[in-house]
Amino acid sequence: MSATLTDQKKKELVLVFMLGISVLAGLYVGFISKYTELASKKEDEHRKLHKVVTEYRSKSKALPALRTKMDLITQSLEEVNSKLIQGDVQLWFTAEMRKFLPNQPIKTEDSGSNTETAEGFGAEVTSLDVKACRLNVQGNFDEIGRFLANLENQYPFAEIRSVSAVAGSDKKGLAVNLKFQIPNAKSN
Amino acid sequence: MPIAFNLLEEERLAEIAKQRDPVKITVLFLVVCLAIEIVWGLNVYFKNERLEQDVKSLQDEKVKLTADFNEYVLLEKNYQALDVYRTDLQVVHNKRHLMAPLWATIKEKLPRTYILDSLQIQNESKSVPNPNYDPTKKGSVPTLSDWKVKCVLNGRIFSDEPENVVTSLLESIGNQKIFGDSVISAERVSYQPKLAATDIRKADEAAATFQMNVFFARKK
Repeated sequence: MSATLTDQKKKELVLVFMLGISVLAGLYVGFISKYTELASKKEDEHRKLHKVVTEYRSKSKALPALRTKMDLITQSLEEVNSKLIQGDVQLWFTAEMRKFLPNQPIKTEDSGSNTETAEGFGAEVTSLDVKACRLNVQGNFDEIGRFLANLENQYPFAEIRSVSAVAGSDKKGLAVNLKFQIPNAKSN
Repeated sequence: MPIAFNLLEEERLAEIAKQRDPVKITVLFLVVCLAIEIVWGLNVYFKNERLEQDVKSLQDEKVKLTADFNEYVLLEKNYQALDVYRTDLQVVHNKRHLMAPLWATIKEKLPRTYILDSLQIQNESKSVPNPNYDPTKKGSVPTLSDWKVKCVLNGRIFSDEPENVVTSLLESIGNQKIFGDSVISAERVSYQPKLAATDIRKADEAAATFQMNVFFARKK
């Protein structure tokens, strides 16, 4: 066919072709590639944001249930905490023994507490801050036995680690030194 | 040869040539390409617009949910800490070793003729984390306990046959089961035979002295 084309036609053909290609290329470079790149970035952003918002939605939906669980655990721990050391161990011990000892079938001597790190059950397998307290009491064998049972019932998280008993000065009873450990309450 | 003019034929050939005009074909081809490119471009443009709107609405939703999300994260963290605390307290409560039953057992085992001068009870129990602990399995416990309590008893025996009292005392304690899977055992530490009483006022001196160790432990 080219053999039949005149020079004029050839020039027109080249011109039209070049012009067309230029328009197509210009449109691609100036519009399509720019928006394609933009859309790709937007797609990435959309994907990431969608993931985040999906997590936000699920957490937001689960929030009321978590609030309920939190209320329940807080309430149950409030009661438990009243059986544990609260605040300063010396102050707590003094206040508690002032309430507890008068109703016990024993006489009390000087008693005290210390903040030594407790050993034994609970202290080494939990994250609790366990403190040891010391107490001196006097009574006969049965009275001391009842006192130990009362102490263990009154403080369900306390464990008596040692008991040292010798004949009392009046030779009628036993003078007992006991050491028990009890965890510190954690605030909510 | 005569020259013949066939105008009709020439016109027909010119029409065919016009229809096959490469310039026209190229123009048509380029127009089609341009149309395709415009459709493509518009598609990309509208897709971009739609994504932008979606991103904006997601950002708005995120802002709205941020307060709830932050509260959830904080509550969850606190809840987990409280849950660990509660579990620890349960471990302490469920596995603590009570002293009162041991005290009662000691009294039950001692004969009336044995006067106690001193008693030391030392809870030597230790607990270790259970390496096979599986919270999903029922009955699986987080810790293993090595329960051991040592009691040192010092006393005097008022009896005509203190040796028999010592023997029967050690036999009665023996190595027997007490509560649960716990066993009690005893060992003689020292024994001072009864002294001859010459004066009733020195009756205390006339007693045989006996020291023993009593152990409470979990049966292996």
